[in-house]
Amino acid sequence: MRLAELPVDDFHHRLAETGIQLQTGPFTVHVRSGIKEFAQLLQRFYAHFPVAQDPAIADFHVRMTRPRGLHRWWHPQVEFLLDGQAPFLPYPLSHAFPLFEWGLNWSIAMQAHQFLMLHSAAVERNGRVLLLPAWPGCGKSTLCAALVSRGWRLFSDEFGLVRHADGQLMPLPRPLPLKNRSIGVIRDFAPETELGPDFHGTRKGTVAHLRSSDACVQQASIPAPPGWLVFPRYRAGAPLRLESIGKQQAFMKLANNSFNYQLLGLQGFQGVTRLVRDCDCYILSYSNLDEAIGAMNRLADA
Amino acid sequence: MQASSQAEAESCWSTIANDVLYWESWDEQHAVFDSLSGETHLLPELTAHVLRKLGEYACTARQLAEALCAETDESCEEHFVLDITRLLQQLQAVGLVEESTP
Amino acid sequence: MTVYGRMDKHGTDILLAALRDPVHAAGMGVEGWDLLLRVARHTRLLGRLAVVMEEMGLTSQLPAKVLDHFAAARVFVSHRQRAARWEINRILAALQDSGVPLVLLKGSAYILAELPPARGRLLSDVDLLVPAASLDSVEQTLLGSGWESVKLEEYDQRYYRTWMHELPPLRHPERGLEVDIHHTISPLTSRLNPDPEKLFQDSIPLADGRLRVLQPVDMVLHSAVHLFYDGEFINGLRDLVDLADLFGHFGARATFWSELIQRAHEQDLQRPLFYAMRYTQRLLGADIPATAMTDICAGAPPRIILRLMDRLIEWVMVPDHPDFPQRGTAIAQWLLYVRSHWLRMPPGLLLKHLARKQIMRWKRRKPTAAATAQQ
Repeated sequence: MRLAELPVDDFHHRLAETGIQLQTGPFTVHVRSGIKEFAQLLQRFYAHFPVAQDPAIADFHVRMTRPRGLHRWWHPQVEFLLDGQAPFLPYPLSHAFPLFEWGLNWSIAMQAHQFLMLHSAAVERNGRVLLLPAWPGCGKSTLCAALVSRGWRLFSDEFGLVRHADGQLMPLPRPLPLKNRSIGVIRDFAPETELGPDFHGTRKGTVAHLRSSDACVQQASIPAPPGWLVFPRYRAGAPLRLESIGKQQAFMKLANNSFNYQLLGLQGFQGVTRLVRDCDCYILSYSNLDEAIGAMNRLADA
Repeated sequence: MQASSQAEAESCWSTIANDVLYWESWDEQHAVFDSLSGETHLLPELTAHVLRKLGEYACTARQLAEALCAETDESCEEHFVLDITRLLQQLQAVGLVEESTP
Repeated sequence: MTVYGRMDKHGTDILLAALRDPVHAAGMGVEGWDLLLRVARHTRLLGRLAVVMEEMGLTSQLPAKVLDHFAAARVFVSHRQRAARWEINRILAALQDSGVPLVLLKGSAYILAELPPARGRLLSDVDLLVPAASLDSVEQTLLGSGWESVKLEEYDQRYYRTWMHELPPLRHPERGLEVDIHHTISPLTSRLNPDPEKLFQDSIPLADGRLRVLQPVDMVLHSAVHLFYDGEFINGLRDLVDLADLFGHFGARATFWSELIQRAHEQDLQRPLFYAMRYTQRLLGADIPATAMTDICAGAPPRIILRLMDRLIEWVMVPDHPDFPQRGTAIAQWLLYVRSHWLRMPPGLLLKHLARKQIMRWKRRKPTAAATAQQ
């Protein structure tokens, strides 16, 4: 059953009372909230996501709730609770949805060690996954959104989830957050994609979320092997350059970029060396999205 | 004769057990994962070679330097022995090799 | 339609039941597992549950999701245990020729001596016991080899050195674990007064002769003192599980119980041993011979105190339902904290210390940088 198939009243009631169990890639998220604005956005961005009806084991138990205290009257706030604990300070109430998205990312990064977790965008074409590992500010989300708007299948803009057993990547489609100038860039680049409201004045500036496509949500349980490892580097005015790099350099960059390489010990070492062995490794410098996408398409179609 | 008695007075170097080290090599570059410390070390060719040689047999810095020179038919100069000693000390600091006095 | 939560506090007895009877727990439905995973993670016992169930060959019956969570928890446990072994390796390398006897305590002792409590056990520091006379030299050697004193406020530093049984924790900046160096197993000022000389004399060398662990009866007594007299109940249930494991393991030897009770008598530690036996039996179903239970009754507190302790310990050990935390637990924890300090320090000093602690906690109530940085 998809979330959109729940009658609206029923959805709001269940979200507030018992919570609902959203399915995203390999994870089940039990989310509960009585905050109406949050519920509306959740319904909009997750309408096409599966909802577990029968009792299930949730990976994460999240509550979005308003903290008690007098300030709730003149300065309404919202808190993200994971298993009843608040890992972050409260946010302004109007930022409940971006807080939920960040909080869920944080929860995954802290807990899901059954995977090697790379801080990377991941998109698929011709049955293989292109990994774009980068720390914030390198243009990974923008490039990821642009690739997805040109037909690549979204795995995730934030997590390269690698299954230990066979090295396959797991999709984790979610709303894709764009920041500041990227919002306008993607609006112009792909006017047909659906962007949510702008949230101004968050810690990362203005954020707007791109709704993931029906197709990628429907295929969210289909993993794929890695194909290409491309470290993106956006620089205004830079000419397109796709430069092959050595395996040791790729290994070092990838290990440093992983959420849990150190924690995984030997499993992490074997996971990262396998990825580097199986992938062609590049650094991509770009400023023009069309050119960058052309280069990625040529890699995938070769 | 004199040189070898001098070498005996030096301390003996060995790697930690071979089965705790996991290797990945690309051309002339190497990564080794030490499952005791949980650390990954990136090693250039010479260092990797030194570590692998010590995995075969324990020896002094001088013996090691001489063995390495013999492989390339070069004469073993004193400063090379010093370089190897320094390298071994660095490897010791991260726990990859151990020193024992005879 | 599932109704989540809305169960009373005793709904979370599910964890105690699973620890007592893993076979039964393995057959639970997904609703039970959904709650059990949360409670076990919160009490840092998920890794333990994972290892025990795997050892018992129960994993084939478990939902796939449970196995994912077990795998993730084991990653965490292995990482910490590896880090502890490595920290000890580095300490030995730093102290190489000093000849100071190093006795491992608690988690690191269980792990290096390969005792049952090591199974899936999380630990966050390495505890070492050294003779009081060697304390300074050990500290100086480690400080000279790269370890640093964990930053504490000056008052805490003084408190540690003067009144507690350890140095302020040390930490190597390149690694995460703290090293706590003790010279006795209970605070200088506490009313308990075990003789550390005896502990060293009877300690047992490990395969690596530079390391030792306490002999079985002392290991149990130390674990009991630590749990019931150190005032930190954050890992209370895990520590109680340690004790139950030790009883199960050593208790198989016929003479163990009489030796244990004899030693408690010698060292004047009957009270903590009484608590350890009582609560491992009551909460975890530890197999303790009736005769031993009768023999240790001399260590019981007056009836009214005992009744209070029963309530407090159950409150603190039985974890709350994560969605419905009870204020009672916090109060019980505070009461036990006060009690343990009462046991540890002369009363005048106690009031001063608690007052200082309150003020400092209050001052520290600033948003944590870590939480902010995550965004």
